[in-house]
Amino acid sequence: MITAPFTFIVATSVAAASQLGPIAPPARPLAYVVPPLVAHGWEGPYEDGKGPAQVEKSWKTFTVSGDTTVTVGNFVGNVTVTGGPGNEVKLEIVKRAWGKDEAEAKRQLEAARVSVNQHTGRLEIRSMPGGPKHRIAIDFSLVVPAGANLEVNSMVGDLKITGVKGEVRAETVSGSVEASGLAGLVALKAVTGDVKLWSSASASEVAANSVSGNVMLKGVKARSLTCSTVSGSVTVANGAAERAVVRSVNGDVELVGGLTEGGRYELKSHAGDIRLVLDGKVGFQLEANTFNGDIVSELALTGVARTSSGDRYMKRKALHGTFGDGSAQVDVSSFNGSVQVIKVKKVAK
Amino acid sequence: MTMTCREFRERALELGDAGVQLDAELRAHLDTCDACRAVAAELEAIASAARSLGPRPVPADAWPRLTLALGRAGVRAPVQEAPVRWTGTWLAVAASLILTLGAALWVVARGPVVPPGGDEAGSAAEAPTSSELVASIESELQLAAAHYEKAIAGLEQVATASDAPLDPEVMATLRENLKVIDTAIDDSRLALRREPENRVAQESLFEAFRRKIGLLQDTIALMNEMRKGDEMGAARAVESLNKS
Repeated sequence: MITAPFTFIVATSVAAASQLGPIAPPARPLAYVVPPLVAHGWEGPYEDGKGPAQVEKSWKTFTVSGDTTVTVGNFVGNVTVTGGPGNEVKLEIVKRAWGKDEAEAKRQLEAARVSVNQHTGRLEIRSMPGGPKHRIAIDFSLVVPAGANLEVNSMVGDLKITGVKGEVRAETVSGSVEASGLAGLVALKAVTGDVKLWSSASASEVAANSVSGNVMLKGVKARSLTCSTVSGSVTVANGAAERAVVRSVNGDVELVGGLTEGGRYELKSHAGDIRLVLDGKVGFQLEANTFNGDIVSELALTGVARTSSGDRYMKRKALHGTFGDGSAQVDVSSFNGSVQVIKVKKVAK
Repeated sequence: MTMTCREFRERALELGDAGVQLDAELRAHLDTCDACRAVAAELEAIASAARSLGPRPVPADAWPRLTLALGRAGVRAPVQEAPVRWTGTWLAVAASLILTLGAALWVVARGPVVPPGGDEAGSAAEAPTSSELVASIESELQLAAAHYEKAIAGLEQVATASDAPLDPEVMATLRENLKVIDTAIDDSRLALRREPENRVAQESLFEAFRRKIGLLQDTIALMNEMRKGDEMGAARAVESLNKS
């Protein structure tokens, strides 16, 4: 957490700051070694069983243009970004290092490096752990101009992004991605971890993908949505999109809320169930298929063509039909799972 | 303005796919960027793995059926098959690897499929029998699968090398999810043996193939990302932390 007001942080405090690591490459137009203001702390003797810990906090403020692109590259640690007013990027860095004793923890801390490079229209922040035995975590907390574009890449750590209106691309390998209040093109991805996006309205594309984790979108409006995971469930609730592709290999897929007139929606799972919870305000053509599951619909469809299994269970394997004016197209398919079309009585907020 | 690593990769991909030499700007970036040089060296191993696949033999009956399928879709087929070309650019090779697999799968996907509701006029006389369809599907799937396995083996060789940028736990997760997709592929294949014309099984199979390609692409991209900066040190640092 930020422990000092940003207004207190001025460039003149650089002289008092401890050196964190090497100066960024001199060829760059502007380069900083953060922080200008540093607070060291002994947090030993143990943290998470990793041995004595050393903690160092630092802050820095950068003046940027409103549409600047802020990139953050981190290896171990969390990244939190909040869109705010003004044309400043306010950066807080919390470095943690562990060792078998205090001296080693201090050495580890000194080896944890952060480079910040500022070019025209771009601010690059990157952690640079350098050795094979480093035991370091670096957390970044940023306040950026709301209109900024954002690129975050992390290896281990959670990402939280709020109120950034420019393009947002955020990926973590091990950790979760949570975002809200976004307005531009959005691309969120986790390899191992959940991806959550809520309360966002984008005139562009929104993509939220995981490999091993759940994906949840709530209250997201976009021109198109792409949500997928391999092992996990995908839920898209109370949003709106002209196009939506929602897929899981091993988990359930759920679309809750309304459709858009003329919209196209594709929901697929191999091993999971698919639930369409619709308010029935927009007509649609349904094409639902399953190989081993069953299909049920609470909404009365017209022009129905159905296929059932030939065994004694008489499961419905295909259901094609039209609801209302049929303006939207909904294609639903699960290999092993079932398909349910449910009429929602009241969409949960 | 200084070229970023992302811009380098995007440019290199465009140029590499066309077999064009790196221009001065790209070379300048490589000269100053250890990360991208490391990526280039790393992916060269993937290139080697990809080259080891050899030319993809197209089944003798695939091209007429592909032409027929394109005709049904209203697409004019090219006169002849484009030659396979490996460029010297690692990104292009990686992309070609994926595209080769994708193209192979597409051939497999489109070839034996009979449109629901029956054949179109004029094609009935050429339509293979059901047993021929099953044999064709099996044959082509096995061929595609063999290429997959080689490609995956090459990727795994790179990923599990001593200085590979990916954390072992991450690699384990990716492997587990590849198994999940493999299960989906196996399920779909089994279903297609019973019902070769089942549309759900067909779509499920090729959706699983696409997902596997996507996961491999993600793996490559992830390796690239991890190479930015001092990723090798970072990977070892993460490993160290995970073992703590």
